[in-house]
Amino acid sequence: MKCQAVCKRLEAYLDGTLSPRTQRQLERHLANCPSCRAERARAQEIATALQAVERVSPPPDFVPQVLAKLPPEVPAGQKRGKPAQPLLRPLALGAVLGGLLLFLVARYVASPPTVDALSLAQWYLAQEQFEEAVAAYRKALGQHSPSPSAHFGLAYALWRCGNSEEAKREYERGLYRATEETPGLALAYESLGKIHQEEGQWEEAVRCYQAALQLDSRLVDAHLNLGLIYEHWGWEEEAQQEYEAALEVEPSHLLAQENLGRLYERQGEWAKAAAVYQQGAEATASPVAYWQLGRLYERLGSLEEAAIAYQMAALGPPETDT
Amino acid sequence: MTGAVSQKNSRRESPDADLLERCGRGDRRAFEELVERYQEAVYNLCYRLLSDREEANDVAQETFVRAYCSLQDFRGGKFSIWLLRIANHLCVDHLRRRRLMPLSLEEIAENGPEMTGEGSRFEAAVEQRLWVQAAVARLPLPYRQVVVLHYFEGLSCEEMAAVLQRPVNTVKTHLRRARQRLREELTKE
Repeated sequence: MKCQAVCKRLEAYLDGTLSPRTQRQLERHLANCPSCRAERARAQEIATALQAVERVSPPPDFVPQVLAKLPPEVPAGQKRGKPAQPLLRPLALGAVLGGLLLFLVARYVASPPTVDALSLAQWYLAQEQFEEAVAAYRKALGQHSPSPSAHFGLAYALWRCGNSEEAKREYERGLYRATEETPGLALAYESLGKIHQEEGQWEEAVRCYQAALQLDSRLVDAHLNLGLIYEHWGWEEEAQQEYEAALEVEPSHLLAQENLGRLYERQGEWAKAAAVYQQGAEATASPVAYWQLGRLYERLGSLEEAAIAYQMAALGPPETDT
Repeated sequence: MTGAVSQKNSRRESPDADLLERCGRGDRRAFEELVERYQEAVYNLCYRLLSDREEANDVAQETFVRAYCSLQDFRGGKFSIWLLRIANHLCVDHLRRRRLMPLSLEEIAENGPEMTGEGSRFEAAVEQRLWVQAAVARLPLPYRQVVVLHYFEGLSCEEMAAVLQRPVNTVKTHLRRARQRLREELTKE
């Protein structure tokens, strides 16, 4: 057995799940190989540390808080809590309110179309009913010649259901069939990038974001995420360009302002950082933006400006009209 | 390794099935017992995936409310696995809404404990435990899920496959890669 094969099996060896024959081969190798013995010690150290991690306790009032959130009791035998099926919703409304007009309005607003599976899938997606959307998209893809947009829709619904692996496959199927005119192509690249990024596959994520931005340079998330990856890699100039591009599309984007301001701070560009925070604070009246501005002024020794910014932050979020 | 979830359950008198049957008859007290029984497992999973106590509390509570509202969809098997599946699903969705970014991971790394030089054996053990928690929090989500479920919740690969709704072989691969990553990180330290 070679070192690479031993390293691959070390955890299984420590778990005691190797076959007796493989175990004997591995032990023979370990007896003669100091570097694999060191590797085994590290694996053992990690297993021990993982098993020693303490469990955290939920807050003492966890149970009463859950009970307070439960829907009211229903008579025994009746279905509990689950929302009515979309098709039944307008009927229920109509029965309760008795108005034909309301019934008709509700039917168009809240009931899924009965035309074809693809429209139904799109309706479920718009309603954020992702499991139903997955089923409907699958049915649609089975009925018609597969359209790239349907693959994108299915991929998004799968992703929101927590099934990233299949979502990636669907995006790739859609991208394989897509042309530059395919609706939603840029967004598909952006979403695929997010999945890759979430899984730590940053090179793939970068490729996807770049493709998305070539098609549509106004995708703020793609600019921001690209900037974050560049920043993480230490490519500050590229990161700065992406944050600035995001702010150009959406000048009041708080996260873009925070990121750009932090980058300027790190580069010692205090005036630029202050300008970005100031712009963010004025545009959004966000306490976070004012707090950052205060912190920066404090660091620069401008205590009067810092005090004003902190006072603004202490006022809390702006009141809305609603 | 004994599963924290199953171990806790086996000490109790009423089996889950009895409590679920009572829940079906509208007995809220029975559901309360189920919440008491599994609050720690659900909260721990949420906390380890979200790395934030307040958010973990919200998502863990939401898990039980969702479970209560869809008890009629429970098709038997282990109730704890079904609950953890709901919790995992809600956490993943929450992370997506929060748009977990590399920078957040970097922040975790920055906030993590620094390995210092000489110290007592106890301090070293504490440091190592903190280090491993920070290292787990830095793992990509699919790897973090399996490490948390396997080591912290004591689930087997088959049980993890049921929670995560992934093939058993995929779960095994993710677990192997996660351990390799942790080992590589330890080598770097």
